[in-house]
Amino acid sequence: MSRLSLYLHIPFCKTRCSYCDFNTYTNLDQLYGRYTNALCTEIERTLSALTSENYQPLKPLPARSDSINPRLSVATLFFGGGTPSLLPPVLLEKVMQTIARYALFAPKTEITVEANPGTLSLEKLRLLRDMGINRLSFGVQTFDDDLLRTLGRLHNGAGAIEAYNLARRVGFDNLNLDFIYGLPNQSLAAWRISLERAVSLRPEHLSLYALTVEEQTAMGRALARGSLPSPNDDLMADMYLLALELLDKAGYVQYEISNWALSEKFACRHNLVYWRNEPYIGFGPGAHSSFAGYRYAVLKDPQQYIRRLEEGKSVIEVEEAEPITPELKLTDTVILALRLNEGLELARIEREFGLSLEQLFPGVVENLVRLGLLEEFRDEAHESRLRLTVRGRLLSNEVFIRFLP
Amino acid sequence: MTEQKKIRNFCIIAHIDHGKSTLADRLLEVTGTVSKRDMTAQLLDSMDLEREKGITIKARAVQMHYTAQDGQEYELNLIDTPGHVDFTYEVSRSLSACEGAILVVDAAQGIEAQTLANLYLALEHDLTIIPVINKIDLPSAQPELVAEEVMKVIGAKRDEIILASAKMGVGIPEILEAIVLHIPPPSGATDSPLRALIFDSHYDAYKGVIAYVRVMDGVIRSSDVIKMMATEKTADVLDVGVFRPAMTTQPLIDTGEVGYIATGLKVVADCQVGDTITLASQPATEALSGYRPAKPMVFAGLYPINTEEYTLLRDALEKLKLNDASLVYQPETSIALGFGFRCGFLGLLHMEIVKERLEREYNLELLATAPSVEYHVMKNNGDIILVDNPCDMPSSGEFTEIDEPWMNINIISPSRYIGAIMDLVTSRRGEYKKMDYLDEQRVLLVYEFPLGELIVDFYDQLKSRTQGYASLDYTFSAYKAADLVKLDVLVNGQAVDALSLITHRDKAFYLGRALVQKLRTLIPRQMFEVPIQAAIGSKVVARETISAMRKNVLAKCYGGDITRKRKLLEKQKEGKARMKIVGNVEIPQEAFMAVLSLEDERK
Repeated sequence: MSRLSLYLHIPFCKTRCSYCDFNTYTNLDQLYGRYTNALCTEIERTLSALTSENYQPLKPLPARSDSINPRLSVATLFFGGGTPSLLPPVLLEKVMQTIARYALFAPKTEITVEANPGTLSLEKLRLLRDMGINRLSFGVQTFDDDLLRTLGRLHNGAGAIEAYNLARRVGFDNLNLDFIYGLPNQSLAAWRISLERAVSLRPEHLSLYALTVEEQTAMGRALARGSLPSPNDDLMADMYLLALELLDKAGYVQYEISNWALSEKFACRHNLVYWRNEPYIGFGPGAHSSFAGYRYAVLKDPQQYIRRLEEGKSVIEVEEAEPITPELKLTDTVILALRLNEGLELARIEREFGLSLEQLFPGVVENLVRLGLLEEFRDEAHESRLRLTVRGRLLSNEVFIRFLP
Repeated sequence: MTEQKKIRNFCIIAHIDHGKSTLADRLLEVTGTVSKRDMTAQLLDSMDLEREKGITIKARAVQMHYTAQDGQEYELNLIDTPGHVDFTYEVSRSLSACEGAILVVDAAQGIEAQTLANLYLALEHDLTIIPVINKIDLPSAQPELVAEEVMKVIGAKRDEIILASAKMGVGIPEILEAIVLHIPPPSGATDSPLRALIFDSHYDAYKGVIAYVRVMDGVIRSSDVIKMMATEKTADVLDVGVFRPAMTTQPLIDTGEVGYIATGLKVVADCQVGDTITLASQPATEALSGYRPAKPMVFAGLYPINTEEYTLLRDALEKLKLNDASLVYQPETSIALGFGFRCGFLGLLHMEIVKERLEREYNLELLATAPSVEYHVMKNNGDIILVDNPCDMPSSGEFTEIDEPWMNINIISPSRYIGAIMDLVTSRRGEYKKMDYLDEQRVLLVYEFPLGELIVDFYDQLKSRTQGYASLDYTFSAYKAADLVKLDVLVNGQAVDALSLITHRDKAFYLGRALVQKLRTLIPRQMFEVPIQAAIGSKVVARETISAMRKNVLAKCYGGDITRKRKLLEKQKEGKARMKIVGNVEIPQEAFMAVLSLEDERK
């Protein structure tokens, strides 16, 4: 049986947040139905190809890896966005049913929906729960109402807590809260308050992201104009260190540069697929896949996406598909694994690439260890592994660029 | 063959943008030398760089035939002149080839320093001046006011001044008539031994060096064997002819005419501007006066960003040198920058042009160090050494005197900026000589000024302090003794040779402080704390610290991001690859030019 990790992109939002440059669109409510149909068409097309004899999911490109077992099961499913919680639950259910026609859902299949606290009701949460969704990820960002306004979010701090409590009431027992730090005008003290409140809610999972300013966003333009103060790297480093300390004390285990879980079993299994450089398939406009020997993406515009699927045409940006060469695979394997606290199993490199990391990148590890960015350790199985130090987690790009092809 | 008395040789003197090229184009058009259909905009400036910068780098010549109102046909030779102060010597050679000059002044802007300098040069050569006020079609034109200025400066009468608009074709017939009527024909002797003045040259892959000449005496034929009187090189003439404007073969070039000689020589340095060509078999006894070998004034290191391109750079310099006798270079090694070349240039513009041509035509990426001048250093043992790289300056105590080059500079500006200009010039050790009012609002300021101060952002400062109104011209004056010191910069405790500079002792402290402050903003944070110090000898005069980098992380990396994030990392890696590493510190290229962009004016 082949186990699949599927990502489903829902490219709709009520409003665009000031920092966001994701592939998402506002005021397309009238498309929800047609969009869901198109998404189902794309899923059917791909999954039926996987189960057919003529295995060529990236037509006209030939598959670069062996065909897979036509008996499919879903390991993880992730509705991301955009705002998946904006879609009527019945439409999400339709998508899941489509998948279920080709692949088996196991009881422990992790099914996540990203949710904006401003879009949820008890009724909606109940429907999501009933259709088998077992993990919710809330974009809280901060509990500070002034900052939330700067970000252009729909909810306020109290609203986020209310949504969280509602989710608990209908029985969700695996919840994530997303936060951003380093926001313009956010002090270290304000960050501490948000963190403490987050921890006091005891979510199973926390994602804490350093603000990344993208030029082509309202926030990027405000910073360029000077109407918002620029993020300060030193302050952000302090905020990160504070989070490490506070979350550790509260019993959370860090497992990735920006992710913590109450225990290892609550680590997001879907995201672990990415970091372990395992295959996944993304559906919906702008969604990416790493599958059949390529990294590739679906075209970005939802209306074009719908039109082309309705006309029976391909929606994959075939010309831009990136063949996963051994060099690329090596780089991705190393830099993705190093994002994780479990780190990189050194034997895996020899196993998959035939040479040791030292042979592939002579002197690099030694130098990074000397700079205090990397450390070698042995796991419970006495396997030698490599991971980022705390300093290395803050300076991870300095590490990663040394493992580029 | 045109009779000598029907030849007119002239050039055009004008400030950048005052319309020299447009006027030249009109003359070519009206005389039928180039049909309107074949006219590419501004034909005389044929190098791309020239057109972009709006200046003429290489002189060009063109022959026109014009039937005047007296019914006679005349041969008019227009010799174009470089329009920049770096090329004063080349201008003077071009002027020597003429009997007259058209002085073009913008009707809205009046006379500029550059124009004035070249005008004086023309008067020194006894050229007949035909004053033209151009661009009278502009709404802001003030032709009468400018006419008064011109009358005052050259002592012309009002009715000698032609009002024109080259763009609209106004005044062109008047200018052509004035050339015929007022400029005297050439006066050489046909039966004397050949003396031809080289006023320019270029290298042709098939015909070798093509010398652009004005035959002063005698005749040159394509069968002759010639001799360059200064370099003493001889050559078999491959071809002679004139520019119409393309090179057109002729049986001979007669006395008084302008044309070209294809020499077959391999380097333009053998055929230098200002040299006299004569016949090997029947040489002239005396060369034409005014020859001077090309002398670089400004020096800088040129280094390939990618150290593997060193040999490409060497080959490129070699090829460029074929066409540019004034470029000099020799290999040099820098601890910070690796292998490169110390290059000498006529001036800053020349340096910029050479660097751009190397990058553009030879596809190289170059790093230029801050420019320096050539110092004469008298050592304790009495030896005099020439130092054009601050690194080579002996330590204090090892020499008795340092002399630096000084220039005469002319600045023309609206009089309301006199105070600002005075401040700037005196802050840079300039010495006031005199001031003349050209009219009620415009003033000519004359100073003596150390070249070492001139090449550090002086022109930009002058422009910004006068809102762009001032114009500048300079010529070499003399070497003078000065109390100079070498300022070293240490990054992370290690001296960075390419950042060393020579400055006056009184300013060393201030400059050191300004420089380390600037470097602190230019050098990115590293994985560790980096001190930056400025020192004179072993004495540290300024210090700044770049604190260690604490955060460089991509917080989010999920399925959709992996390719994009990898590309971001690749960009960071490329950025690093373009930096120079000194003592573990990655230093960006801009840092090596930091001294040119210090924000505060140095006091």
